[in-house]
Amino acid sequence: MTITPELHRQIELFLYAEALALEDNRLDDWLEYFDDDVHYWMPVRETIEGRSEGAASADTFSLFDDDKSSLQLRVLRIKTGNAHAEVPLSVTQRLITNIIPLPGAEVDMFNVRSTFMVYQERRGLHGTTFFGARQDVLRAKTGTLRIARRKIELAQAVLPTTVSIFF
Amino acid sequence: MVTLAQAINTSRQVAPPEAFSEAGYQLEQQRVFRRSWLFVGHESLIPAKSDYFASYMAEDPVIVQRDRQGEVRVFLNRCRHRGNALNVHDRGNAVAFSCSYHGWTYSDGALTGVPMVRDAYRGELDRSALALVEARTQVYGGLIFASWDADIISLDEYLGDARWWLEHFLLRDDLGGLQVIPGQQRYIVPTNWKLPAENFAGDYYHFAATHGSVLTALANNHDTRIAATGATAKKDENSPYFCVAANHKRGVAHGFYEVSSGDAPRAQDMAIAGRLGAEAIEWVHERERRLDERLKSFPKRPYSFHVANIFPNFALIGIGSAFYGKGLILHHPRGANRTEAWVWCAVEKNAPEIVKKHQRFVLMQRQAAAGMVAPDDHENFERINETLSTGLARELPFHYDMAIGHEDEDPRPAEWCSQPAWPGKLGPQVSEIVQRDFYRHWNQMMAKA
Repeated sequence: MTITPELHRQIELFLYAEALALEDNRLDDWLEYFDDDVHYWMPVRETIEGRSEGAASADTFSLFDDDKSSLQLRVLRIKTGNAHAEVPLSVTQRLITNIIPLPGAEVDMFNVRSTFMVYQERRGLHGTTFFGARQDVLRAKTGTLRIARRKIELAQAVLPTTVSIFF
Repeated sequence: MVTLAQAINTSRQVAPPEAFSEAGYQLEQQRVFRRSWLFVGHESLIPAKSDYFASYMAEDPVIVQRDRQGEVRVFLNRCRHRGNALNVHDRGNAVAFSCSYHGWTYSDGALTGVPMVRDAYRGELDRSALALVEARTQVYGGLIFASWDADIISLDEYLGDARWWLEHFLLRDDLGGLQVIPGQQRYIVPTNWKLPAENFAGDYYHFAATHGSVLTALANNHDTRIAATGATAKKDENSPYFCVAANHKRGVAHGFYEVSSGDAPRAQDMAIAGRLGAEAIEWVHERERRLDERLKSFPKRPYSFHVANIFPNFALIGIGSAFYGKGLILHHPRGANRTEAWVWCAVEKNAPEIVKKHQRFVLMQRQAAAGMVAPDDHENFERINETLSTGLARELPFHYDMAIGHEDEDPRPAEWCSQPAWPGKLGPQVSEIVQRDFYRHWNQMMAKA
């Protein structure tokens, strides 16, 4: 399927709206952006010499290696109001940019790369910025876009903090 | 009302406030980290000759390498000429490391190449005196320990009581031992390394207040994959939990907690095995049968411990369930108010694939950088850190007095007291015995010039 300017724009707006759900801490709304069979994956970044075996392959110890059900559990935990890393909820500002959609493996599927900067502010005292790129597979089921796969590659190998937010 | 002076006077100085100061930090680099055995990583990360990975011994970067004879060796990652870093990768395979500054080259630690050695150095350079600085190294059940202290006690003596706990419940060599899976998590914890270390050593007390959100979420959700492991185990009076202070009052202070016993933890693992299928059931049965056999002189034996800290900064989690990935955690000191945590996930080498996958998933979802447990610990440490070195607050010591003076009470059920004692000093599950012992040993090391 050709990526028309209209489709390109639709995909951009979809990713912006998804980021806005996270900025607004509307986490249940955010889950709706994902298909039920989603694989939400954030491998660690490692620099490896001399061998092709990378940490970013499957079956490694990742930061996220989630499905819809475990994402729901993570959201449920934050919503208890007792998950201290999110008490009070973090303020996040998200720049989603360099969005490049390409045709996917099937009709109505798109491979979309995007780059992000996420600023996280904790209690007005601690500010942290995460940088990275995402490789999404979007699926247009019955005209509605959903994320079927998301691979998140942080630029940072040593995380500036533990992760209590989503990307 | 309590004035600062009164508050200081009424607090026992288990961990003096100076322990968290910049001056204390600099001193402990010399007196604690230079004189201890430090965990640097696991042997399974370097199976082939010339495989290596980068690690740290406190602040010092090291190269951990299996040399061309197959021996595991630990070198300071620093060229002897101008101090440039030789290795810049996280792991790999290299017969030699060549310095990017002037090209000095080292192989298995020996200085093998110096550009212009004849012309510029007039052939007068003694290369044998310029090998890489090497740490004393010992591999123990796959765990690689290293020390800069040539006169340090043997690792066996250093671990003492801790060996019995590590060998039976973590290492399980007769079952094939551990295998670290690729993918190393690293993150900054904004506090002094001793706070996470003492937490892993003995602080079960924090679980309910700190991690209640996990229990609440699990209770309200259908996804039970990460439930019923370790701390969320159902506790009944026939399955009491304990802590253990290894080498209590006499040696290097290692701590173990969530030391489980009785039928409940075993039944819980069997239930998880049941959900994973026949292979998992067979494996966990065999795992238990072998340990029952090895520990038959202990009719009432621990099922496992779950969390531990090996002094000073090597923490363990996930040991209490057959289905929890074993977190091998290093808390590298990075300043009086900063720690760099490293987490490796070890799985049991001969476990079926489905079990390994489950172990990895549970650790990742719980005590890991983006898990549902570690970030809340991190948040508490960050909050503590806000007044760890500020004006007045830094003068006020922490409180470590829980059940002080009751250390000699046997926490086991009365009918167990005729049974053989387990190695180490047994305490109640909720206790500060281990933390007091941690600082007892730390203070002793700090007092020795």
